[in-house]
Amino acid sequence: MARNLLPMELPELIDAFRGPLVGLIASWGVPWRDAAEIAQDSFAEAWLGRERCRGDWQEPEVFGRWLRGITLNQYRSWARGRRRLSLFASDALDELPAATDDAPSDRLEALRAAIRRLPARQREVVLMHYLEETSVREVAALLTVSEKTVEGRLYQARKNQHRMLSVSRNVPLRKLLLCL
Amino acid sequence: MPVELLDEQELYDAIRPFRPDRAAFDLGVQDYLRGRAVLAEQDPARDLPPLARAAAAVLPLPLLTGGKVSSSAAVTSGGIGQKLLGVVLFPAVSLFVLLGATVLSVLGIRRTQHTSDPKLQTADDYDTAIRSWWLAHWLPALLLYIGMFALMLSGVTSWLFPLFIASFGALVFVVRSLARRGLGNRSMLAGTLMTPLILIGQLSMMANFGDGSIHLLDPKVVSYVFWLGLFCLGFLSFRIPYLAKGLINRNAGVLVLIAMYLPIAVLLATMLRIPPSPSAIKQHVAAFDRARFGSATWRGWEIPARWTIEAGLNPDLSKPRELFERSLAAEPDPFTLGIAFRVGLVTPADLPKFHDMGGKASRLLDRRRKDEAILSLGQQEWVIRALLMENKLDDAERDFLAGRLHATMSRGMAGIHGPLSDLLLTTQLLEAIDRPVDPERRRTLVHATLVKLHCTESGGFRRAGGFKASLNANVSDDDATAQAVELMQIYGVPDGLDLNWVRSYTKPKLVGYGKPDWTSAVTRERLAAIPGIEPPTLWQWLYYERNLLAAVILVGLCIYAVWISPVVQPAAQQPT
Repeated sequence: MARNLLPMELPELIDAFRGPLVGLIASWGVPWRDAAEIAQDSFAEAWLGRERCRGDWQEPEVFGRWLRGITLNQYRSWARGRRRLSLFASDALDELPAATDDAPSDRLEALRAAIRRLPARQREVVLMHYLEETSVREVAALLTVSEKTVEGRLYQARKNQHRMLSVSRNVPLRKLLLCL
Repeated sequence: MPVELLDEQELYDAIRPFRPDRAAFDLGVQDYLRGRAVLAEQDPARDLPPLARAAAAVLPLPLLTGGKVSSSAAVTSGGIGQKLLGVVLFPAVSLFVLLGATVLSVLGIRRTQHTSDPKLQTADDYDTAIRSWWLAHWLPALLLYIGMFALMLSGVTSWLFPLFIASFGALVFVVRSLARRGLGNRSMLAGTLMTPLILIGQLSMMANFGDGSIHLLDPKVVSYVFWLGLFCLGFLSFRIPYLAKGLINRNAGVLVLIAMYLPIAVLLATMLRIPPSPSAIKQHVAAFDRARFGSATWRGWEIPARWTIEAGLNPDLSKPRELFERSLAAEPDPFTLGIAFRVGLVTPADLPKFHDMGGKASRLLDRRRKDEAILSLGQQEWVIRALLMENKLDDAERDFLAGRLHATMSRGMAGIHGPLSDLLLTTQLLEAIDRPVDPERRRTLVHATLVKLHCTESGGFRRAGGFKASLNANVSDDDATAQAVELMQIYGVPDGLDLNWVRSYTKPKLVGYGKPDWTSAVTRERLAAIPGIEPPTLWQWLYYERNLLAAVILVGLCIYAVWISPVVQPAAQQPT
């Protein structure tokens, strides 16, 4: 119902880029709710200014690059507003927001903590790719890197996370050994 | 050892709770777009070019647009470079630049008094210094002249303004460099500055100067400013104190100067033209007694004649009436008959003299041609008016004619005689047969036609700002512009049509030869009488005449520079 009111190509673009875009903004330390709002504004601005976009905006690679530029501007504007309100902590960019689900299991909590500890580039691809199970093509388009690069970062991220979770699982045993 | 990776499903599960709701997300985008659409509607700067919008981030909009837009505007999020470019190019900014350049130039000229080097003693010293100065500066001077020449020849004077501003800097540079070489005395400076003034004065008389931009005054007036400056510099350079003691004995050069300037001054004075006043237009209408080029001459006369009648000036039409009677004897063409009817030269006694009126009337009222457009309405019009004068049209026939006239009007751009002429004639005829057109009903059609035929292109001796008679025409013409303005009196001014273009097209030619331009004079009067139309604001005047303003200041600076420079005693001067 609501979708019919949107211009014709916009719903397709939103479907393709919504997940990775919200994930990307969240990876910059923006709370999820604000990340969704910034993404909405960015989609609208990118759509309104699409004629100014260099190249054919209907190409995913071109639109992805365009959308990312717009989003960066929107994010900076949001960050300035936060700073003015003194609500913006200086280290917030490095922090992944906490979960909002009601009863997260220990395993999920540990997993989210592991995502927060990932290097920035790996963290962003994880959030972009797994938020809505988007293909690496859109992720690559938004980041203006190749799909192979995205796949490589995802691989490294999963490897690092596995290591982090294994280490945290073995902590009690190591503590015990140290005590001995 | 195999590489161990985290299970993807676990990652999905960990991040899934943060997924945005699709429907809510789409609604959010929609709300944003809707809000922007509302803002765009309320944005007073929405029709401005992107650069102007960028500049609006820095300057108040009324100043920026020369008074065209009066309230605050949303601004673009352009970069600093774009904003700067916008600032440099737009109306009020150029006036501020002008003011700033003037102040800086005055200060620069004042400072040169302290840098003068009076080491030169002999005529040879002067000669050498002058030659070396010209050798060092001939190229930039040549480039400046070529730039001005090209811009004036092209007719586009928008970019001439920066060149005038650059001339301020050039003036200061010339004054300083002459002072450094010991040549900064009054005679030398005046002589050096007179050369470019003569050149620019001549260039600004070029045929196309100002034809491609909006000007509310004749751009050729700029030329007079430079010539006036030239005269002033000429007299200043001949040592005023000596003039007081006797012209003939003290300085025979003054006589030479007067002998040179007098013919130029007389020539320039004879080229000045005063715009015709309403009483002059009335006299012109009354004096019409010869149609040298048949209906074309009649057409040129009809425009002011009808205006004087509509304006209540009651012109004496006895001479035009005599001329019409003479042309009746020689069987006038249908266009002349139409004009004679419109102006009121035809009397019922003349009607029996018209040939084949019955046959023409029956073809016009042929029932088989119901709601069919009238081909070449300009030739058929007199028949309708003659029928009206004879009172031979009943209500049914008037309705029938109204149908055909509306069909003619609906042809729009397809009109053979000319869309503007057809629209005006049909509107006038519908009024005449008591079936007046509803302006609201036809406004869209008329406005679309006006916008399509409005011409802002120039070049090749074309003047921008007027209206073309048809889409195929390459140039706008005075008759079509007069018709367009009459249509705007009835149907209003189309959105997006800048009336200053039309004002510019019909502006009085203050410089030149020939008879007054009666059609343009009447069109200006009609333009000023359009309901709800404000005259140009002060800002618009200043902006559109910024070249004239810059010329006045430039000449003033030249005079100031010469005035404050030292007068060298005759023994020390004598450079050649």
